[in-house]
Amino acid sequence: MKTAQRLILCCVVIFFVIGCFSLDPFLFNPTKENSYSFDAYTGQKSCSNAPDSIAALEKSGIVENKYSTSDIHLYSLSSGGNTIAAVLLAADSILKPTDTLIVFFHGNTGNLDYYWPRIRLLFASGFSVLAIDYQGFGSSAGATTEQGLFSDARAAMKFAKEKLGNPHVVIYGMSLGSIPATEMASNDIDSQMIKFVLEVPIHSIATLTDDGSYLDIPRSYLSTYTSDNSEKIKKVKVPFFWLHGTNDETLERSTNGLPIWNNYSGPEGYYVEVEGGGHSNLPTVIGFGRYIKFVNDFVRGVKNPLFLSK
Amino acid sequence: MPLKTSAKSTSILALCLMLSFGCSAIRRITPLEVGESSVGVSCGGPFTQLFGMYVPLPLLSLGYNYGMSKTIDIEAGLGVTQALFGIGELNAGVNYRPTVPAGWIPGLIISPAVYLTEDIDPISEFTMKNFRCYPDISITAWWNREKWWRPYIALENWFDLCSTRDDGLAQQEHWLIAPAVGIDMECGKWHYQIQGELYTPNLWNRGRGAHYLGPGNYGVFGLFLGASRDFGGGK
Repeated sequence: MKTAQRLILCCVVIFFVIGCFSLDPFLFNPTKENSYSFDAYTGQKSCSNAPDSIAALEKSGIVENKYSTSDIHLYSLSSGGNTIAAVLLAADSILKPTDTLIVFFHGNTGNLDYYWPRIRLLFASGFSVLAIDYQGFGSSAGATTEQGLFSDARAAMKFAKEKLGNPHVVIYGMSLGSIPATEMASNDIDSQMIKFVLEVPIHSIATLTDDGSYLDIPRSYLSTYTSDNSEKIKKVKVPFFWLHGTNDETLERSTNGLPIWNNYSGPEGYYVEVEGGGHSNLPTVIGFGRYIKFVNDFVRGVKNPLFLSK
Repeated sequence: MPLKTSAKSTSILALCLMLSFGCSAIRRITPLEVGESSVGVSCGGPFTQLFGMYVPLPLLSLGYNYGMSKTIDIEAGLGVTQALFGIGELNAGVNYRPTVPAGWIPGLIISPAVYLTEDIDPISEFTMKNFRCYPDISITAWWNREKWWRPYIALENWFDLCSTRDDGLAQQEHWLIAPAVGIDMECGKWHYQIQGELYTPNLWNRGRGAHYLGPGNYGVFGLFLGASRDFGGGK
């Protein structure tokens, strides 16, 4: 009898704690920082040797934008009631409407310091770059959520339009950043968006669940988030460029990038399948000079013989 | 490296994998007498990267067995950790024991079961839209070398009957295997078990969001600890 009572008590306790916890916060991997070090940052970085290579490439003429620390402009934007950090890498803090700005949405590691060499590479390709830290990342306040990503991305787009001179915008999403990037590219009609780039994108939250389990497990078991980039890409009406490595050990190319590519029906689609490329090292595997040229050629509409198309 | 080096982000996906082999990861080894029952708890799961190191996820399950005859007992299980995260997982099955150990010849246990899963988060609508049923059959061979401890090996076979995944892509894997090895220790009415498992040793474990530990980037190691107590019977 005593055992039965214990069992009943156990069941009652379980009933009341059912669903008490959420796995949503476990999706994100931010690192908080009070301030950014950028070039002086000594921690782990994506494409860490890019700045040295850029310096060498500047001499060879491949690099269109020569970098100096005076090109760094820091801002605080308002998003969802929180303040988020933004960095603009540009010769001038006000752009012309005919200038091109790459709005870069980074992946799920660290913060802007981690992605700084990548931002430098994009700048070296000849365009100004705006990057933000999502809520909960770096010095951005708040906690990271799916709606927060969208809110942060909208804040960046609005900032580009209203405070940076409404330049032409290329939206660039990498890994986790493909979620806010695709949301913007499929919905944002106010900015002068001209092109769209996804690097190692996530297909959907459901794909993370299914790939992780090897089984058909409903997304709702693991997350309340619903993002599905392969659906949203159908609404993208600007030229699209997709990069994915054949050896991506985090987001499998065939279940993540490929369905997005297959669903794109816009005017021009190009992709580069990087042989041996992993999840965060595509510029390294491609070669920094060639990566810079890829970005430059796609944005300027130059037909690169290494691009595959629809 | 986004996602890959995440300490926390891997756990959400490791829980998915656990779902498939969760509740009855530890199976009753010795037969129950007719009318005898057993209540147990097990804890463990797949090794995944968490806080910078590989650890077995501490996933808690409750289990119940009841002796129907000399060769058959029925079992049921409940995933406690899953329930905390709003996932209902129940399993029910039968353990059929056609042979008993004789010297080096092992006793066999054939265990067909079904795993039933559904969203049970109180704040979400209970629609049964996300109900899933996964059949499973496992075969266990065990030896009765000493009265107080018994080694065993097992092969779990999990079947996914869906042709399309939740993300709309084709479901590629319909038969997932998990060999296991363990020891059952008996102390009066108590049984203690430790079991090592290797999930899906034939499948590449990279590119899956979670960062799993397996031999040569294939499969996923798992570790479970269990304890159960027998009730009734003539012991």
